[in-house]
Amino acid sequence: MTAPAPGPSGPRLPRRSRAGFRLAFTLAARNARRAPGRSFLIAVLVALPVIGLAGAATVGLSMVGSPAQTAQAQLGHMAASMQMMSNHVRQTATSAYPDGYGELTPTDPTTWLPSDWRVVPISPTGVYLRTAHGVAEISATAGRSWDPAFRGRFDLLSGHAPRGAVEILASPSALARLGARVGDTVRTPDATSYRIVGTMLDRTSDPRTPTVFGGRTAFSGLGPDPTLWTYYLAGPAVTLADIHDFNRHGAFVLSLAATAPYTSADLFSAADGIIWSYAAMIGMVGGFMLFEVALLAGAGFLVGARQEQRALAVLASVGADRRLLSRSVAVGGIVIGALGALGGITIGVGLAAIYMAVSRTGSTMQYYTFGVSPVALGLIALVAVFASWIAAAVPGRTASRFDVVSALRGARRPPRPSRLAPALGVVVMLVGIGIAVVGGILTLVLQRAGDWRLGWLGPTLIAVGSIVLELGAILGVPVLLRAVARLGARNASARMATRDLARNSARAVPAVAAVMSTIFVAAFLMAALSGGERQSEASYLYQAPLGDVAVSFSVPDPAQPLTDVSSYRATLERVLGVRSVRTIEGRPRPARDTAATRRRRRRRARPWRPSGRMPPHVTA
Amino acid sequence: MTAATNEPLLRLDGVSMHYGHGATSVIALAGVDLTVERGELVAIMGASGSGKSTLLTIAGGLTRPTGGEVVVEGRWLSELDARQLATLRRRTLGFVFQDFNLVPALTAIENVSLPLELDGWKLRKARRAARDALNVVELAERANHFPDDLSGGQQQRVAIARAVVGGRSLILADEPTGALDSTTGEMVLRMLRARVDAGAGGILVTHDPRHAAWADRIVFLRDGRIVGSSETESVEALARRSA
Amino acid sequence: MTVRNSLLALLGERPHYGYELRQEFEARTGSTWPLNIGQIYTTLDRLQRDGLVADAGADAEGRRQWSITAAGRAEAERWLASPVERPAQGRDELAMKLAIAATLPGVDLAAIIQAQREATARTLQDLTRAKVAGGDPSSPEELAWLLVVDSMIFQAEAEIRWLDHSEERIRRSDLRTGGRVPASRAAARTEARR
Repeated sequence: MTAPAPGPSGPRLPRRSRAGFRLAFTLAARNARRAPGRSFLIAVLVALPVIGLAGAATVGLSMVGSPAQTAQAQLGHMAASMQMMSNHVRQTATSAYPDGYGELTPTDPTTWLPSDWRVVPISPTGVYLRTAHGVAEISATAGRSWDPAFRGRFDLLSGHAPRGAVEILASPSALARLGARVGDTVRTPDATSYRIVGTMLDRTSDPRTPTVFGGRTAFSGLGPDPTLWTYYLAGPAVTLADIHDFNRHGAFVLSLAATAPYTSADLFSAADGIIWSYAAMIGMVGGFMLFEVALLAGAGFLVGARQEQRALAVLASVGADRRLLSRSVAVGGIVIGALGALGGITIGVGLAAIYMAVSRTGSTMQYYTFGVSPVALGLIALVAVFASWIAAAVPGRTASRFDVVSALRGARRPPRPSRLAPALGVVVMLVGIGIAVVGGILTLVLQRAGDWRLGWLGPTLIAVGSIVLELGAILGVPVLLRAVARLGARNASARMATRDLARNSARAVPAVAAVMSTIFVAAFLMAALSGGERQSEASYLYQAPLGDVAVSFSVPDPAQPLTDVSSYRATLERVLGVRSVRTIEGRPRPARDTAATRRRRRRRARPWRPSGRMPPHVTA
Repeated sequence: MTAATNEPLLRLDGVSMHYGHGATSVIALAGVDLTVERGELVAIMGASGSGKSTLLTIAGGLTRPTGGEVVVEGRWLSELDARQLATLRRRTLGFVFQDFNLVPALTAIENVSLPLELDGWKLRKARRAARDALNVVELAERANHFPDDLSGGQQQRVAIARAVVGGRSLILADEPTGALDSTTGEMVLRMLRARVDAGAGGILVTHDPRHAAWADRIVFLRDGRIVGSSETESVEALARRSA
Repeated sequence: MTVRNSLLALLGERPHYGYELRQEFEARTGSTWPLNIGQIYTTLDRLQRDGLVADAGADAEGRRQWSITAAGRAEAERWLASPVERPAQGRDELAMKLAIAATLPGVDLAAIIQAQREATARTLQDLTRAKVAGGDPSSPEELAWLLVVDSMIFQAEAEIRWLDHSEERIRRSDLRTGGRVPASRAAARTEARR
């Protein structure tokens, strides 16, 4: 025998992979078109989470204004606003924090502010007014909100600016609430009377909230305490240098000029842990949905690959290698996934537009823009296509490993389950548990440390870990199915069903996995929610000893304390059937310091910190 | 391409094929020797289970024999890996099966140009070669039809065009007329014969003596062994005799 | 008999002279059955004697023309319309050989069958070759010739199929009896088939 001739490998062909990809794409697209029902179903599967994610992303991003947008909305044509703190402040254009150099006495900025700026102090407060049906507590804005520089923030709709402390403006909803018209006079329970001289809207608030607007001294209970007021500056632009100057006086400054260069992306990077936590939550739920989609769509692609088995065999017989075979199935995932993602994004954005149109109140701070972010949507589409591709790649790999000859004859033997898979499954499961535990510990540590910047990391690790855990469990499913089949069932049809499942585990595994991941998401959410509940119970602030009832009354004017306390006592004894009633009377210091104003101040000082759970509060 | 000049197009040396092991072992082929030259069509006849289809898939490198050697254009198939076998199928061999020869998602011309495109031909060049091949089987006007829109005979003719496109030299046909009626089958055989007469070599596996008769040589297979063969005279000799 | 009826059918078309008849016959049957001119004239004489053809005189070149009579036309039509009776049995040497061989000890039936199969296959290949080598299949002569060749092809095919069938039958019988078929039973079976 002579030496064997060299094989036909020849030189490597650079064009082959491109031709291969073109062929794979053609095949995938045509196959998708040839089975429109299945393709549509898979595309819908992909589209569903994409609709949700794209919609949520669009609505969410619409609600996040850039620093300049939020400043613009709050300032109107004012140059800046200032809030006075009782300590030194160090701030950037977008965030402020106490610098820890000790307390200082808040001052009225007019005492130190250069005369370049005209100062308009404004404070939100409340006022009790008689309506046709009784007394209502109505939001009130004290200060010259009708200043022309407030155009865009406070807009005078009709009438004229109030003169003195007896004239006020009302929002149209306040007119309706009070049952009054412009020109009417309304009274407080203590017989102070106001004349409504026009209508006005605070553009940053929901126009359905009744609000009245009066001068700085129109409403009782607001002292000169500088921390209660927001000082708006009309005049030249307030630069960052000015801001740092003002900071030394304990002022937190919001300036249009200083925020203009910042975008919403900066806002995201600017230490906004809450937003990141929300994003992580949405990402996790969305990720799980896509994971489930990948599993279910994978079953769809598997059926498709089975149907194409003969065509794949023909391809192999004309010299297609394994890579092309698996690719022609996998590319189907990209094609259908792209269609589903595109459709999902279109529908999601459309639904977001509809939702926003329906829920829009007219407040300028509700939706800043129509937040269609190509980056966010592109990312969602990319993830969806990726999931779909993975869903198709697995059956694609299986489809490429077959006996060409028997496939050509139409015979197909299910592949034998791997012996390695269960062992690998256990390892993968352990790795998943490890990742999830690390994520959990990290979450705890970060929470203790109060660092919100990495708030997304813990949940993400938990999600990744549990997905890995599930993948490990999936590897073990065929073994589990076979064990169930071996156990056998009494009932013949049940026995047949379990045997069939065990034999064709590729068909059953995606379904089992999908159920598994659904249960996982449900269990995770339930655990998270009940954990949150437990935490809030643990941190519950008791307002009274157990078994006691505390009822508090607040009065609009400290000058006129409650007179008939004894009658209230009698009523309470009768209604609640309590053994004894004790009265505790508290008088505020010069400026009335109610729980509400304390809260408000806290919120101002740390704008992004969520308010805690409020204790039950009874107000008569 | 370094085919020895005196090598036949296809040579099977003592090819045997066993399925399974020990007591349950099934012998499909037991030492088959066979050569196919260029311009020669060899028919393999035998009852079902005689091993004729196995012989064909072994000759095409789809099945590895358990014994013996297959040499295609001087290349020993046992020396080739899966990728090289795929290349061989793209460049040298063409299969024609009883049915389901075509990829249903591709048009006739795409099916024919498939092996060329897989082999890295420029698309335009591959399509031109495919169109020529379709012309030869008289299906040029059906080039853009999908297999579902073609009759069984037309599908087989497309398959033959694909088997020979791009100068591929060895046609391996497994009952190519099995699913066709008699006259359509004859037309397909006529095409096959024409491609062989134009210089290709071919193996035609069939159980129909009338179809086998289109071959230059009929090899009879029984229980995995060749039990005889019959060779026709050349057309010239035939003409001389009848003169 | 067959030649007689064929000539009669040809004359039904138009008058012919003897040599012309032979050409026509051979062209239309693809020269499958060569006739000598003497056989033509003998047949024509017999047809004239039976009153089926008549002497139509000489043509311009002095060749003797023959035309069909009314009786002859009726006879030709009857021939075309009636099925051909094949000899029911006998003279089938191959069947006879196999039947005898099956009863003889020490004879390799499979080898006999294989030898016959190869011979018949060769005939079949030759016929197919001849058919493929033919001219334009749309001309009437070519069509006539194709019909004849096909008839022979199908007969050869039938013989091979019968050989396959017989081989299978013998193989089964061998499996059942573990060897030679008893002469009496084989004979009885052969008889039954006839």
